[in-house]
Amino acid sequence: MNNIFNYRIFLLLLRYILGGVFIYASIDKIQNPQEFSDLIDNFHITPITLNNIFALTLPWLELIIGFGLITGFFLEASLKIIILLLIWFIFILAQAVFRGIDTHCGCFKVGDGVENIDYKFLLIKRIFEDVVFLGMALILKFKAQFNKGK
Amino acid sequence: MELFLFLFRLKQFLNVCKFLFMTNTQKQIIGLILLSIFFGLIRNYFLESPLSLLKEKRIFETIEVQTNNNGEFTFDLPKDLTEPLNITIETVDYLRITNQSIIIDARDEEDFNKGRIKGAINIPFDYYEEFEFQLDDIDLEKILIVYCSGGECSLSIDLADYLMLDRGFFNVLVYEGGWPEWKGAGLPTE
Repeated sequence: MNNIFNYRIFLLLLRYILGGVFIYASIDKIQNPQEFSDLIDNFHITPITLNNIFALTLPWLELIIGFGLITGFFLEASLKIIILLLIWFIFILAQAVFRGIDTHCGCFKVGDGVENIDYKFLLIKRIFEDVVFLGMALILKFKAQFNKGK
Repeated sequence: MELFLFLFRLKQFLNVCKFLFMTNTQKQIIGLILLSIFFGLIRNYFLESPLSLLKEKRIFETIEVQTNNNGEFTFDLPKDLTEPLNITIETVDYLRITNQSIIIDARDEEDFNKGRIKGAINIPFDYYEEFEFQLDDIDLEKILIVYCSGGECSLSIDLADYLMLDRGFFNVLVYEGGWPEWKGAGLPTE
């Protein structure tokens, strides 16, 4: 009984952490869509024409699903979006590393990494973080009992 | 013709049916994405300078060094530039040799130290606040040439915009070919 209780606390904690991370990551991007759009340009993976739309939409999606995770509203949909987003982030960061693109990630703040000269190391660190978040999201997706677990 | 119209209507109808039979989660995912687009557009509307929904790649006008009737090189910059101009490698070399310009490397310090155009100074765009003092005593009419890693690099354009719009320099040029082209051409480096 105690184990089940601890397990539910653990899942709840994962949800709060993941939700908090996504909300935190979205705020700076919502405030500076122009800079975020330029950052997306730097990854050279999406057509430039669409980057402003991505820059305007993506942070809000992160914010909404972050709240979704914390409050439990649209939990399953939020989790699915988070998993897809994290896989996408890992892909674009990895291609930037392999292609040797000199860019900073901007995952948390648009100006983040400014002091860090070694962009490749920063990108690999971000990939590692995203893999951890993806692991957390997958645990929630496959283990959590959404309706009972709150 | 009517058959096509009928098939078209049938397809529309089936699409609607497909949406109705989607699982709740799929509907929610679409709903959340639409909500994000809605909030994004509202946010854009209230921005001081809203982004255009379809972004266009900036294309700079290119200006080149000319040869006059006597076979001498001349370079005339248009007056009252409103945005930076792009220049070719020959023009950079001409302006460098004739000492008419200041060449600015917008890459980070590490890349600058590995190799640069001869005589260039370093103002990395990412932390220009620490480096821009080098321009404090420079006449605003002086020609500034900004370059970075060529091709996909946007640091030179960002720095050129900053120098022109925020620092008030009148004659800012971007060398889009950048360090790879210069090095590949075997021109003077240090």
